[in-house]
Amino acid sequence: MNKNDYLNEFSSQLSSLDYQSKQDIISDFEEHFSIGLSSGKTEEQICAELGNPIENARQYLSGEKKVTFVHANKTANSATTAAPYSNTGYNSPYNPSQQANIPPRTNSTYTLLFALAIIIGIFFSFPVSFGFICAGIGICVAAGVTGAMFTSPALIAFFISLAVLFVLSGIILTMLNCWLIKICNRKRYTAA
Amino acid sequence: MNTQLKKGVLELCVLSLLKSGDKYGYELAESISKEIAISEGTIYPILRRLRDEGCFEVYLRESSSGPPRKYYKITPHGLEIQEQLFSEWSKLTARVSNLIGGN
Repeated sequence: MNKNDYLNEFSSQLSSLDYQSKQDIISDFEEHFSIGLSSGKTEEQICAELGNPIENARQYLSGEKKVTFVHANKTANSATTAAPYSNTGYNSPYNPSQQANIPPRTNSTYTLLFALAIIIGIFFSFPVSFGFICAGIGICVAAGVTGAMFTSPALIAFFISLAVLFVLSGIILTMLNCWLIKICNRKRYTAA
Repeated sequence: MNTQLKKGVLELCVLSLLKSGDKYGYELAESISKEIAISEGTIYPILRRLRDEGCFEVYLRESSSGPPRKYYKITPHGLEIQEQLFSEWSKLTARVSNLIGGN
C-alpha cells in the first residue's frame, strides 16, 4: 500500500465530518508521511507503521463523540465537585455506554443553508418554476389553437421547442432546489 | 490491550512527553512506538482530542527540510490532566502489582 492508497482509504471513512475537520485530520497524516519520507523511510514502511487506515479513521469518529461527552460531563458536573477526570479511574471519561446520552449534534452552517434553501425555494425557485411550466403549457395551447393558421411547420416546431424548454427549465430548477434542501437537511445532523 | 485503557495510557504518555518541551506529531508517535507496540496512526486522534479539550496549543514552525511542522505545546490545563492521569496510573499499577503478587 502506498501513500495515496492509504490516504484514500483513510479519508473515505471521514465523510461524516465537516470539510475543515477532515482537511485538518488528513494534513496530520500527510505531515507524518512527508517527515517519514524525508527521514529515509519508504511509503510502504510508513503505512505499515501507521496501522490500519480504516481503524485509525474510526477513532476520529468516536473521538468526536467523546469530546461531546466530556463537555456534557463538564457542564453537568459544574455545580458539583466531581471532575470529569475523577479518581474512579480511566473508565469514567471513556464509558461507551454513556455515549448513548449525547444529544445529536447539529451543524450550524448546514442548518443555516437548509433554512436559506427553503426560503429561496418558497420565494424564488418554486414560483419561477411554476411560471415556467405554465408558460410552456400556455405556448403549447396557443400554438395548438392558432396552429391551424400557421401553415409553416417550422413555426410550429419553434413553438413546441420553446414550450419544452420552459417546462424543462422549470422542472430542473425545482429539482435543484429540492436536492439542496435534502443535502443540507442530512448534513446538519452530522458531527461538526 | 483493552482499548480504553490503552487510550488512557497513551494520553498520559503524550502529555508527559510534552511536559519536557514542545514536540511535533511524528516525534511523539516515534518516541511512543519505540517503547510500546502501537500503530503510530493512533496517536493523531488522541492529539486532536486532547487539543479540543484544551490540553495543548498548536502552532506551525518551519523545518529545515520540508514543509512547516505542527508543534504541540502543553497548557496549564494539560499539565493538570497529566498530573491527574499520572497519579491514577501510579495507584493502578501499585494495586495491580499487589493483586498479581509482585511482592
